[in-house]
Amino acid sequence: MKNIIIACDTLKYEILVAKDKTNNSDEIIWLDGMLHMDTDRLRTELQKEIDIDRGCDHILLAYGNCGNALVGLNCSHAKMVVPKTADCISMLLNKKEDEISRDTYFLTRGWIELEKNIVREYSHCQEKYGDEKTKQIFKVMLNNYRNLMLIDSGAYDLNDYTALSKEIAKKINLNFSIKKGETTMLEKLFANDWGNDFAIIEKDKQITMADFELDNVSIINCVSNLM
Amino acid sequence: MNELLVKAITELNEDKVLKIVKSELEKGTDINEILYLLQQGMDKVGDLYEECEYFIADLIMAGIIFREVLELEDMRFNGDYVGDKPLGKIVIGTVKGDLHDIGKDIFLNLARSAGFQIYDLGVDVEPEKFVEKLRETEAEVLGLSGVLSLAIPSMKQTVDAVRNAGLKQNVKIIAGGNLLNSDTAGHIGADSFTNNAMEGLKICKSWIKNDR
Ligand code: B12
Repeated sequence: MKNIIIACDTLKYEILVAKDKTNNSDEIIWLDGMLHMDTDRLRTELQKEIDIDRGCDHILLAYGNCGNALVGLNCSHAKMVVPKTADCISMLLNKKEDEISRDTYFLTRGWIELEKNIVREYSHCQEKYGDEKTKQIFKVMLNNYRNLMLIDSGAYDLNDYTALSKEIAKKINLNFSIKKGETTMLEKLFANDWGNDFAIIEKDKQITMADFELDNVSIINCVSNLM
Repeated sequence: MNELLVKAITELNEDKVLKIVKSELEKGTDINEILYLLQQGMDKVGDLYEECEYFIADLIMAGIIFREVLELEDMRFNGDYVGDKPLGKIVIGTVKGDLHDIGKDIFLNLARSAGFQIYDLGVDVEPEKFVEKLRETEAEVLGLSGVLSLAIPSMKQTVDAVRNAGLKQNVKIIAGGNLLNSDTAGHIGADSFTNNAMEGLKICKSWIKNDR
C-alpha cells in the first residue's frame, strides 16, 4: 500500500515526531499554514495537490476541518483519509470542539513560527498605527479572551517558547498557562490505524460535514456549491 | 473622489477617509454612493487580507474606520426611517460556542446606520438568550453569526429554540458567516444566509418592506 501525506506546516513539528514514532516513510507535501486565514483558498490549494496523481492508494490529510476548508474536496485516483477533528487545536488537545475552553487563545511552536501570528500581529500594529490604536485594535480582537495557552505537544523544547509566550501574554493582557497536548491522532493517521477517529473517503466522493461527526450535522451531505 | 476614497480605505488611512467623507457629505453627495465606495474599499481590504498581505489587525482597523464613518451624524440613512421610528429591529449575536465577532460587528454597524435598531447580545450566546430577547423586543429579525464549524449545530439549536418558543411566525432569521452555504443554511433552518454584510442588509430590508 502506498500513501502520501498532505500536511499543514503549522503542524510541522508534531507531524515529524508522529512520523518518527510510527516509522512512517510516506512522502509529505507541505502546504503553507497561512492558508488558514482564507478557508476558500485553503480548499482550492488542497484540491490542486489532491488532483495530482502520484500513484498512491491513500492520501492522508494531516488537517482538521479548519472552518469547513476540507468540505467539498474529492479525489478520483485515491482514497482520502481525514481525521475527524475541527482544527489543529482540537487535534493536539484530543478534544471535541465544544470541550475546548472558549476564552483561550492557543499557541504551539508551529503557530508561533507562522508568517503572521499573534506576536507579529502585535508588532505590526504598533509600527503601523502606534500604541494608542494598537490597544484599541487588540481590544476588539481579544475582547472575549482571558487566557493564552501554550500547548506542550511534546514536539519541541518548551523552554524555548515559554518566555516568548509569557511576554506576549503580558503585552496583550492574557493569563498565561501551559497545557499538555498529544500527537496521538497524527500517530494513528501515520500508522494506518484508522478506526473511528478517521473518515475514509472513497474515490470520487466528496468530503462532507457529516464525515466529521459534529453533533446534529449528519444530514448535510451535498456541498456542491461550496466549490 | 471615487478612487481617492477607495484608495484611502484600502490603505487604512483613517484621517483621510474621514476627511473625504465629511467633505463629500458637505457637498451633498448621496449617502448610498459613499456607502458603495466604502464597501468597495472594504472588499479590497478583504482581498489583501486573503492574499496574506494584510494582518487580522488591519481587518479590524478597517472595521473601526467603517464604524467611524457610519457613526457620522450625516451618514444615517434617514430616508429609511419611518418618521422617528427605526426601520425595524434586529436581535443579533454570535452563537453558543463561538467567540468570533469581527463579521457580526461589521454587519450590525451597517444595519444600524441603515436605520435598524440593533440589540447585540455579544458572543457565545445561548439559544435561550436569543429567545428571551426576541420576546422582550418583539424584533422582526434575528441575526445569527459564527465561523467555527460548531457554530452550525449551535445555529440550528437556536432556530429550533425560537420555533419551540412559538415565536417563529413573527420573526425572520438570517445566519451569517464565511462557512455557510445553502446546504448548511438549509440544515440550520434559517430563512436566509449570507457571507456578505451588504447582501445581508438587503435581505433584512426586503423582509421589512414585505411586512408593511
Ligand atoms: C480573525 C480570526 C480570529 C480572531 C478573531 C477576532 C475576533 N474578535 O473575532 C482570533 C485571532 C482571536 C481568532 C482566534 C481563534 N481562531 Co480564528 N479565525 C479568524 C479568521 C482568520 C477570520 C474570521 C473573520 O473574522 N473573518 C472576517 C469577517 C469579516 O468575515 P465573516 O465572519 O464571514 O463576516 C462577514 C459575513 O459573513 C457577514 N456576517 C457575519 N456575521 C453575520 C451575521 C449576520 C446576521 C449577517 C446578516 C451577516 C454576517 O458579514 C461580514 C462582512 O461581510 C478565520 C478564518 C476564516 N477566514 O474564516 C479563523 C478561524 C475561524 N479560526 C480558527 C481557529 C482554529 C481559531 C483558534 C482556535 C486559534 C488558536 N490558535 O487558538 C482561536 C479560537 C480560540 C477558541 N478557544 O476557540 C479556525 C476555526 C476552525 C473551526 N474549529 O471551525 C478558522 C476557520 C481558521 C482555520 N482555517 O483554521 N481567530
